[in-house]
Amino acid sequence: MRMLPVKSTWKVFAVLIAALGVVFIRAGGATATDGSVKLGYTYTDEEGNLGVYQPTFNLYEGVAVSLEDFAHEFANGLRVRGSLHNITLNNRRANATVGTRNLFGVDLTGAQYRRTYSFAGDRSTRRDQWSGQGWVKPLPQVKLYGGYGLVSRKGTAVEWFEPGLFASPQAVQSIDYDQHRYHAGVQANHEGSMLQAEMRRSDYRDQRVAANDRQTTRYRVVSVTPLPRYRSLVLNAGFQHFRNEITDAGRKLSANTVWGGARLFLPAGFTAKYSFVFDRATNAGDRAATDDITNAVYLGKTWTRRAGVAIGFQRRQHDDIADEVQGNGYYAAGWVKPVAAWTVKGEFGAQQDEVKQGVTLTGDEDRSRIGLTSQYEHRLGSVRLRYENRQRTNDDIGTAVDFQRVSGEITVVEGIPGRLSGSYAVAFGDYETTDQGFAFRDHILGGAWESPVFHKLQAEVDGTYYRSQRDLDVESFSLRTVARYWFREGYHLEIGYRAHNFDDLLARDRYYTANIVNVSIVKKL
Amino acid sequence: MRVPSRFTRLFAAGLVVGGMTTMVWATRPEVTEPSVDDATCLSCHEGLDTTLAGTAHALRPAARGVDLQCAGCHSGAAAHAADPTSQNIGNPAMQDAGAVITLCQTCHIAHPEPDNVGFDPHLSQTGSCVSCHQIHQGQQQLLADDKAEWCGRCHVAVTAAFHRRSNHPLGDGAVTCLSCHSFTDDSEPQAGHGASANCYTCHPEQSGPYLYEHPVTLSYAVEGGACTECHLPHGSPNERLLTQAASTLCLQCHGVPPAHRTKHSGLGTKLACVECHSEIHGSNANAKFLDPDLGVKLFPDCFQSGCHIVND
Repeated sequence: MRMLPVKSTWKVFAVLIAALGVVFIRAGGATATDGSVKLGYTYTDEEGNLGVYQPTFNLYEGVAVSLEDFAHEFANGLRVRGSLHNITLNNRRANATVGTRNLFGVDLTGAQYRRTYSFAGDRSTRRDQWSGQGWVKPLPQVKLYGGYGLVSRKGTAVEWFEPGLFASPQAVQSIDYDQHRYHAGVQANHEGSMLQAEMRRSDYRDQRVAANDRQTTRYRVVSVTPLPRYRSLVLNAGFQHFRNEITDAGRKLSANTVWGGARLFLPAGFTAKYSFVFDRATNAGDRAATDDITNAVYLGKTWTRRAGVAIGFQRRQHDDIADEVQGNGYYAAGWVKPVAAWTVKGEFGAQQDEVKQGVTLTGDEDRSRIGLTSQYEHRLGSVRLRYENRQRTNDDIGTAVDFQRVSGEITVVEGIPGRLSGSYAVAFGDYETTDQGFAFRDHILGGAWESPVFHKLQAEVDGTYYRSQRDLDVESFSLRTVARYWFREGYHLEIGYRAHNFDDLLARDRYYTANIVNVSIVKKL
Repeated sequence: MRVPSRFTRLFAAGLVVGGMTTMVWATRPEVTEPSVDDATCLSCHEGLDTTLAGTAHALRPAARGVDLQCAGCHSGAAAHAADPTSQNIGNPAMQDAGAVITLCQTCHIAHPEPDNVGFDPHLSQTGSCVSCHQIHQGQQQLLADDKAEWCGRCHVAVTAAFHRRSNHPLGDGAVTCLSCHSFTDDSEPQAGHGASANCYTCHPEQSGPYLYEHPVTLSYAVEGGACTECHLPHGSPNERLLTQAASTLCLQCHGVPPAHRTKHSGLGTKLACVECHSEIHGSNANAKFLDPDLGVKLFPDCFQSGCHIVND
């Protein structure tokens, strides 16, 4: 299928939204309109390596026109919503929705993103994503839906990491592919029951290497229903057929999945749940099959607003032509409010996988995670502390992961003008590998203040400081300030300033600094 | 941690028996009759019915045991009609979480757990339905907001992770939390292809299938595998969202082959693994995921001399 060039697609999209707006507004009978139009100029001053700091990869200088959060509703219930963000620049994004709440709807979205790989910014890739989907309800209980999506990526990327011992300017990779996605389905709902059948398909086309072309197709039927007369018991079941095909080689992989379960809402705050999944993946070439089977049971009890507890058990089995792995999973979570304003909660999960037959690359594996949170709410604001720990060990190959994170947050909403918040997170990572290890310690400090409106003036300031140490030595900082002045009813002037800084202290050429100024006039619709 | 298999069996059996036993208490939720009709409410709160028109909450008399009148959600309507103050009317947006959840679950089945383990922390702990849904003004799925800032108010540590060295373009608005986190319900299988399929929507070039697969990328073939085995999706201290820097990531599962240390003065250990094994997500050309252009790009002498071939 021949596609419109990306630029033309954007023009068609913008014109379509504008035309829809004109038609609907001229039709009259409107009950409400919301949103704003923004006209401004963005000035950028960048220095250093343009390939190291992701937050500004998608930054462009020039005149910026935006329609933000436009919403228009008619007396007959027809709604039009849409946003055109920076439509005059190459970081434009758009979305539009037309429809009524219970009869039909059409959604269109478009976005693009640039990823820069080189010091001078001359090697980059651009990803364009489009999607359109619609639904209609011929009957109140029946919904037909379908849609199309496109992901397109083009450009030149540096292969993997910064230049190594033998890397040369040739170590670049051109990228040029499209993926087209289609889906269609029907869904019926009746008194809490749902039956859905759908098909999804994607075609991946690599313009450089035809051998990479492939297709994916998925058919799925799902049903969820409360048990008649016992609506506290909800049953669910589903079946899915999934097929991957490498077009050029004619190679096919397919998988059939069956799942189901029950959820029981009981008196006195008790909840119970059971679920199972059976998945069989098959290679059409050698007929080898891999089975994955999971059974899980959970029980929970909630004392409303006072405490809650949940426990669970999961059994997994993985069986392929050479190996068999079995695993047990355990889960426990609880929370309690010693006083109404204070919540303490904790969570523990563990999974042990054991190789019962054959020899797998990673061998037996133990995983666990722990999370503890304490939060205190006060009329002045809130304080929250959180600790997380995730561990994984593979004794057979002598590797281990130990990740820990401690974070704190404080928010003040009263007692000062406006709203003030601050957060700090420190994360530790220790990795033991088969040969050498890796360790990091990250500090992330953030803060924000939003002022109240004072004499038609309002300001916002927020900043983040990031530091990564131990095996890495990276420092970055960003500051954002915005000032607004309402000079006339429905109009305001907005001046924004952003500063960014990045330094990799282990590499001389990996630094970056940017100053960005944006001046805009905003009209509220 | 090792758990005896006998304990495991008893644990599982206890859960099943406990759940089955308590089933006998299952009852249908009770619905109370509204005490004030809608016209009385709308005589003061003019126009609020239009915000519900066309939605599943559109005002209509009790039908099939479901009450969809103002007083169905706003308790205390009779007292409020007699003496209208903001203190004597139930407003779910202002009520405590337990009361709101009980009210909404009269008609709705609660979300299953977003993290697929245990129970929904959004509902069971500090939040309630109206923490994220606005019944009168909500957008799609009646969500109050679909922007990352909304989720970030509570998920502070996750928001901070997006400020690490490499991250998904949340700040640019190219993705939002909902791009990856769909609050899955019972219609989704909780294993199988789920996790990676999420990533492949935007990153099809890594999705495969390949003639030579890297097994860790196959979520349906390896427990706990798939994209998040090597990548931290929110943000990472390393390049390309990798959990570990450069070759240490590979060494998590693979040892350095002896010949890499001994041949040619250990040349093979001085390069990052992916400088040669660049097709690391899978390859249609080489079982060792070697770069198809390796002989041209890095080591022309090795291959053109006839000592090695690329597929060696």
